[in-house]
Amino acid sequence: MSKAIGALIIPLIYMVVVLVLGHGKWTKSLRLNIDDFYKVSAGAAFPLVFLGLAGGYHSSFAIPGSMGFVYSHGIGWIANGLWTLFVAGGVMMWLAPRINYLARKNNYLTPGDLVAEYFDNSDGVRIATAIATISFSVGYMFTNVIGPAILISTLTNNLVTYDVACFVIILVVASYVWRAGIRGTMWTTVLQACWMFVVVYVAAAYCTTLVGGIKPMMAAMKEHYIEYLTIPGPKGFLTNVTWFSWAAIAIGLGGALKPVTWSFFYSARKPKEAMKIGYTIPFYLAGIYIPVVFIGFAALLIVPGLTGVSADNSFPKLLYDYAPAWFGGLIIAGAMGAGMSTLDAETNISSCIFISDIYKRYIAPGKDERHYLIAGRWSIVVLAIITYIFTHYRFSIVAIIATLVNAIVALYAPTVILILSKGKLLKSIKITAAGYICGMITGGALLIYLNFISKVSNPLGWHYSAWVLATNVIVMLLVSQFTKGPSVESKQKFEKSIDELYIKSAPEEVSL
Amino acid sequence: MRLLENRLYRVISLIVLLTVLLIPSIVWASEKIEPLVEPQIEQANIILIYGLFLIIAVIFGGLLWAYKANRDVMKSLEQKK
Repeated sequence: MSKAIGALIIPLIYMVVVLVLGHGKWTKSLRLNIDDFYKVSAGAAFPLVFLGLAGGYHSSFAIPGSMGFVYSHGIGWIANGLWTLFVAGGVMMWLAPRINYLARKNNYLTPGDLVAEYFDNSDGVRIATAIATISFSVGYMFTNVIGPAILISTLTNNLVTYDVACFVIILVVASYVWRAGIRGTMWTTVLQACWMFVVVYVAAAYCTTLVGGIKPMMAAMKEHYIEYLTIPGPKGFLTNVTWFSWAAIAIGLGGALKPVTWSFFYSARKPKEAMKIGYTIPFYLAGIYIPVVFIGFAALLIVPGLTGVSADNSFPKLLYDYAPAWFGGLIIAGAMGAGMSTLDAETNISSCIFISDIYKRYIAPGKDERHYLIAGRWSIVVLAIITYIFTHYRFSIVAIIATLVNAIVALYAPTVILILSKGKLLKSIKITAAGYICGMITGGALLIYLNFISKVSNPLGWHYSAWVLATNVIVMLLVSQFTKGPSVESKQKFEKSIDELYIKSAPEEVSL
Repeated sequence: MRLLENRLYRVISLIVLLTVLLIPSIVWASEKIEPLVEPQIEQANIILIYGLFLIIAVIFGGLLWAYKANRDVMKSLEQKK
């Protein structure tokens, strides 16, 4: 019991600090409108954008899920860093400045704003994008409560039960998102990003020392678990096909263009700072993958033989058996940071998409900004309640949702890439509103089929994200051949805006 | 001053609420698993002491960096007005 209480002291201090950061005067909006509530309309300082996005990028899978992954599948996990650096980083460097510039010029608030405007403000495109992006964000919210809640209940020996942990996490997050929108999200995530990053490295140093150092660790791994030092790993999961179809598309592309990253692209002060996101964040993200391997290996050696869900909890088990209670508390706080930093950002963008793309346009148009702000805050309360209810389905539906949401980005990413491209070849490809919508519907139907109906979710070993992407692109291109495209004025407007970014004599706020 | 007191009151109220919510329930029976290597617990615990200082330093540094940058941005916005 005393160990459990000892493990709780630091998380409690952490929660208090999060509440102070999330409610402090530095989170006050400059203007009382949804534009400044859901994004920083004047542009946020780079550390807030960088750490705000970096901390929220990794879901609660970071702690302890990624360690459990290494425990089950071996060293192949570290290759994920390559996909993060090259795919996610490359896409962000390429598209973030364009998205930022268009958003500042045309006052966008959601991904749907950009895509719909390209297609002459098509209502169908806006609604389809809103449904896809809000499905992603809400699905992601559920999963980021479960991991930290399990860790808390494990490390406190169920002194704090799973249900109580879920309730407290959701309540704290909802409180500062309700009050301060994206600013509350950014400031708390600065703390969480710093905490999470360094605590994982300290944990790796601790775990490595626990087994006697790196050399003894590797010698023991070679003696007992040689298959864990290979690809595709002991269960044959990490094949080349898996890496390309899962890591590159679902994780890399999905992470770069998921809805929440758009709110940070929009909040950067200028295109150059948006581009900085692309070449800084991947190093932060990939940097966390390295210590994870050492932790996973140490868990294999210290608490061997765990399978299934217990394997996912191997790191908490190791901490509970060997680490002092206060360090377990630090890890709990780190895991809470990983989950809460994603939960708050997803709550913010989910509310934003609902209010801006659906409520303001189709349910209650023509009201004043105060009305939409109040509606937005109510939507945050509703989202919090829905999240709490869904956390009670933790190992069945939520597990499926957690994996399939990343594939949702494949439904709109190809079109976004084509809209924002400058190259003649990509610009020559015809895309229409009807093609976009049909591609989304077909891809979405396939996603649901592969995950809920089919017995095989990864046909021929290819992750379903790849199938959804391919289907979406093929249907979109086919339907586009027979339907009307966006107006010449709209296409020229986008092309001209993107060209402005690359003019050397452009003002400093614009030029790259 | 009143505003600070109100915020402090809210924080204290939340701490009390959190403490009340921490009601012990079922005790999870922890089964000891035999490790494959002998754990070096004392040496590992020394790492944690250094690690704690590192964690505090990084968090403080990150918040300070964000605070200063935000202050500069707010100043430049004021000047533009």
